[in-house]
Amino acid sequence: MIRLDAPRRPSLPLRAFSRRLAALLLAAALLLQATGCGFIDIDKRFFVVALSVDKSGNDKKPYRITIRLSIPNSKTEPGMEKSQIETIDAKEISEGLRILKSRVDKEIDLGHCKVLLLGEQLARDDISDAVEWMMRRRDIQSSAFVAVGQPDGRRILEQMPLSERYSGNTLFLTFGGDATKSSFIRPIKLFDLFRRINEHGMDPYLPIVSLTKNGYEVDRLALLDKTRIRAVLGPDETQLFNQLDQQYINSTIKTSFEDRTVMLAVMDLTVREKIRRAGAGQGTLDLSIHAGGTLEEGPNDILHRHAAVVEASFERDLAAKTEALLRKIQRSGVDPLQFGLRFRATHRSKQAFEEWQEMYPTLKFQVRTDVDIQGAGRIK
Amino acid sequence: MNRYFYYSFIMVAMLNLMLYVPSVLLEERMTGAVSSLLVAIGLGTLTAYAVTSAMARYPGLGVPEILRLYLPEWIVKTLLSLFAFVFFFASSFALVGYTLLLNRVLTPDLPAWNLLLVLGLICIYGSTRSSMTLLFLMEMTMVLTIPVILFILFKGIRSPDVAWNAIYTIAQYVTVRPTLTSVAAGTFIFTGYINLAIFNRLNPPNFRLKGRWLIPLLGSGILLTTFFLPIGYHGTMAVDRYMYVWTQTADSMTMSFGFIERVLFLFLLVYLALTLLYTSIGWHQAIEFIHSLRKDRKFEVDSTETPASSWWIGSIFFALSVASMFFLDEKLTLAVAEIWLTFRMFIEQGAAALLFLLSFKRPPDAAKEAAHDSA
Amino acid sequence: MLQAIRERFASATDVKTHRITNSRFIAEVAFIATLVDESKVSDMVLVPFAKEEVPFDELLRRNPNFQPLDDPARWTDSLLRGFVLVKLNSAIYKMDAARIIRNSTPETTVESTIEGPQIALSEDLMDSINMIRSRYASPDLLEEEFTVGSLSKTRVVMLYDQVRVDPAVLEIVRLKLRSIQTDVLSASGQLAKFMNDNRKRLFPVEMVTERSDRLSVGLSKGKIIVMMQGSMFALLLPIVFTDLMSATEDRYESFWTSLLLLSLRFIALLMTTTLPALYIAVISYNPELFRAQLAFSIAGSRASVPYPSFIEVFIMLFMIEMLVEASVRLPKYIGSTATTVGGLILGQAAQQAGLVSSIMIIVTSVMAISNFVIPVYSLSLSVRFIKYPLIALAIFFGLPGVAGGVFAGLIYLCSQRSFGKPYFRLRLPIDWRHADIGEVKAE
Repeated sequence: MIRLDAPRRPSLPLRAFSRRLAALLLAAALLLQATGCGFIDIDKRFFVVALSVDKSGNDKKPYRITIRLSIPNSKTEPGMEKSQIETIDAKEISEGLRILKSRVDKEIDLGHCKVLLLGEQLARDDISDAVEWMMRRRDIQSSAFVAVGQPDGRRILEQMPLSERYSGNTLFLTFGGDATKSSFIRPIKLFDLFRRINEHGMDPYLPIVSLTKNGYEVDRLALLDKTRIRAVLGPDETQLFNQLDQQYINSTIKTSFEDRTVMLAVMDLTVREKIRRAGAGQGTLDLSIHAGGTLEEGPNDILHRHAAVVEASFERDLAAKTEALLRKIQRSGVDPLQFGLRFRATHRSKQAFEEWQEMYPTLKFQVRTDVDIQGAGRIK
Repeated sequence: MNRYFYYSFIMVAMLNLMLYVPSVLLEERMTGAVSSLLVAIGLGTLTAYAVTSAMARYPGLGVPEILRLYLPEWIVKTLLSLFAFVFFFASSFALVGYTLLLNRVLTPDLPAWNLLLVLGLICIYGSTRSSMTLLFLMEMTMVLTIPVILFILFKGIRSPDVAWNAIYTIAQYVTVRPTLTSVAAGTFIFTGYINLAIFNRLNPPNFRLKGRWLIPLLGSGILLTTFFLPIGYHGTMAVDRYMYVWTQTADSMTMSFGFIERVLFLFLLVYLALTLLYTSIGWHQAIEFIHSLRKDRKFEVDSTETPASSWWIGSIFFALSVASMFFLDEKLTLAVAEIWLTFRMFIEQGAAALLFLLSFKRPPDAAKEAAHDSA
Repeated sequence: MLQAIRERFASATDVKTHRITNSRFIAEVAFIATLVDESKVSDMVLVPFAKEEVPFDELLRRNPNFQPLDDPARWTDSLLRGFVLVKLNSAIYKMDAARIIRNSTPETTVESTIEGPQIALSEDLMDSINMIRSRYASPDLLEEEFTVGSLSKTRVVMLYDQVRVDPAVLEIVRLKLRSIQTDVLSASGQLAKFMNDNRKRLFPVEMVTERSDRLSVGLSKGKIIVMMQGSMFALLLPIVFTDLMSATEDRYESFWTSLLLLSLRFIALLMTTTLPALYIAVISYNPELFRAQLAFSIAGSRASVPYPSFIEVFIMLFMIEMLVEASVRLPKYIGSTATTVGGLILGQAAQQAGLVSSIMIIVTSVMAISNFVIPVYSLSLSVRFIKYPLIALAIFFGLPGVAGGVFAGLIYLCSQRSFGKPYFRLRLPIDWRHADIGEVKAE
């Protein structure tokens, strides 16, 4: 490819010399290369598909690192999947991983590690060191998903869902949004977590993974201040959180009418927020929610006879629930819905963030809702 | 030819990432970077306009020939050596910087200088080709890479992961006074015109640069994206905690339906091509400047035979780059980049002003005749 | 005359020399029996001479088939080209009676199309020129003749449109044709090789083609055709790289179809050169490039392979190159057997024996098929070579090595010139309104 012999040179010895020099350089490079490492075939690598960091309870070695290694299999069938779990307690995470390397016969490769779990105990104590480590490792993808494992990360990794084709695939698919799109799941990527940990006016959250008989359940959300869990949202609250923050379509809202539950499948959703500051330490947050959708459950002939009443009922309930959620978040002293950042973005002041911190604990919420029933499905 | 000018403009503008422009700007994001961007857009456009109109008066002549028309020999020689150094330094710096980055991200188990060896040899090969070849190469590379870059940018901007509030927040710091380093970093985006210094030799006599309104448009588009998109991805605070902020940004994007899932790889490959191209072109121009030190040397734009001196100069550039690798680390590189960007801005503005003044000194007709004589 | 000829061809048995007489004249006739059509000799010379319907000296003077040949130095030459020499009254005439054995206007076999013209060039120069002239009926079409080869004395003809041709290129080609030094010239490819100054050139800078439609379109674009006696392939030059990538059919189909086909070929070109190298680079350095699922299944299928990835690649490449070589050289009937045995049975068995992974089989087959997509044979040969340096780079430097290698290939292509013209560049339709870059030099 590299042609070094093309030009006509003035004198022959010179030409021969430079050619030889080039050849020598190349040869030296290649030889040094051959002795070096870096060349490891794919079958000599052990791919870590998920990694968890727990607290071990031992003060000398506070971290318990668990990795789930995929054992490659040429035939892939659901449930036939084999994987290997390795656990170690260590003083530092990186040190633990290095010791783990000596326990397996192949090179441990974190390149495909898409799911990172933090044990609940760790998340209730301090996650910043673990996250910092993950961020620093060059081979962990910034777009890997992070979650809290309940009761701890290790037991989550040990669970083997029945339908799994590739080890670790279930968790990855759950968060990835390519396969399941559930309004109860709120994934977070590593870089986003890191951003929220550092940002002024935007606090991190983590989805909680817990065990079921055949697999996992991911429908709750842990809200963190910069370092540890301050509040946990239940499934309904998680869905509402999703709706408020991401304007999540494909979700539902609920109300009751004549002692029956009425469900609205939300098709279009807009949330607008406006923060007004009324002097030192005082302010209001205006939140207006517009939701439109079709009914999924409800009494007969609801569309023609009771639409207005049901809509009003929806609006009332949604406003109440939203305000309750906002209060809960406010009481925990966290700000995962980035109101603080919003305030900074809309208020031109050098001390915007200090002003915000001063007013957030007493911030008043004014929630206006507007629900529009657009249809009632196949039944009137 | 019009499009070759814009290729070179876009190439340099895109390459700002390898010369640590985003790092310098993001470090000062709350202390004057935003207003500096505006100043840089104005200043950069102005310089680009001045240089392009000055060079347009001498189609077929490069900067060495133009300088020789007016200035005494010793000034010309000093200036040419200075320009040769500027071109050499910028392109070698980009190459070394990219090698460090690639080594860190893609092949951490290989020694970095090893990678530099193969990339440097390719650059020697590229830089010793004729000017014409390099223009063709530039066209091919840009045509192949621009769609990928646009795709990455589109992907990045449309992503729900972008926190627009963070971008608005930083944009509010526009009232802070601009700083010298930030302005210098910002104007780098616009320096694509400097490649006219040698490549103007290839412009045909009836050459007129059209569509110069594209310069501020493209320049500010690229500059603002360079600065604001990482903020959108990493927020107002975490953004300067990253060593290679754009690589990190690319790594934060995924193509869930692509053959390759991680945008990072696309990004690295595109920038590999861009860096090799930039370094080849930079070294080539430095070699041409050194050749032009000899007054009686006739330049050739499309020679099939490479003079031996080109190989030697190229090899020396390469050796210097390899040597620099041994004492440059990531911390030092950033510091050097900051000084370099400022130093470069003064040289370029000075050269632009000089050329602009020179272009007024004689009526263009006489200069055109001179162009014919020497060609 | 006969004496002189017999001396010059002392040991040749097929040189016939006759002294014939009729009522008025004594004539001497000489020809090489194996080169001439003997019926032509008897129809044109012997019978009229014997019948004496017209005085024979009159006939020789009037009939345009007979041309006077005075220079004795050219006797040998003329005889060797299949002329009959007739001496009458100390005047010597020559007559073309050459019998050339050739294939009778064959069908296109190397560059076949579905709907385009099906007739290929002939091995006889005159027939080929006939074909081109009939497709390009313009008075501007000029013909220049050269003789190449000190022993073979092959006739080489250069055709061009004198209005459209680039005089600079024409001058270079003339110079090249005159300066060729060889004993025997036997094929167009050989001619092409002689016309290159760089013997180590990787890509062909002239097109070897058998299609007259391609040639006539080339003429209209100012290109030059070089043809030789005894080969059904002509050279078309100068060309650009995309000419080699386009089949004649592209011009006959709709825009979108040809665009699709052309992009398909470029993708194929990229795949056939880079796939094996990428396989090594990704498998051995950066397996995180793939999605996890693909990486695991590759790891699974490679689990039984005992060698490092590049040995595996070499095994498969070696096999496939042998197969391709074998099927070209073998007679058509055995050829298909060889491919079946090699491709199906060996491939399958090699995978089951754990010698290579199943993914590698796919990679190799895709690479081979992509290679066949390239429409011009000489290019597909060069492309077959290109992948080896890339593999070397992949082994030592991984992914950046491969990408750098491709870039170096791009530099190489851009630096090529086909007879002084740019070889690899993007041509946009708007170019023609402006002066091109670098035209200062041309003035």
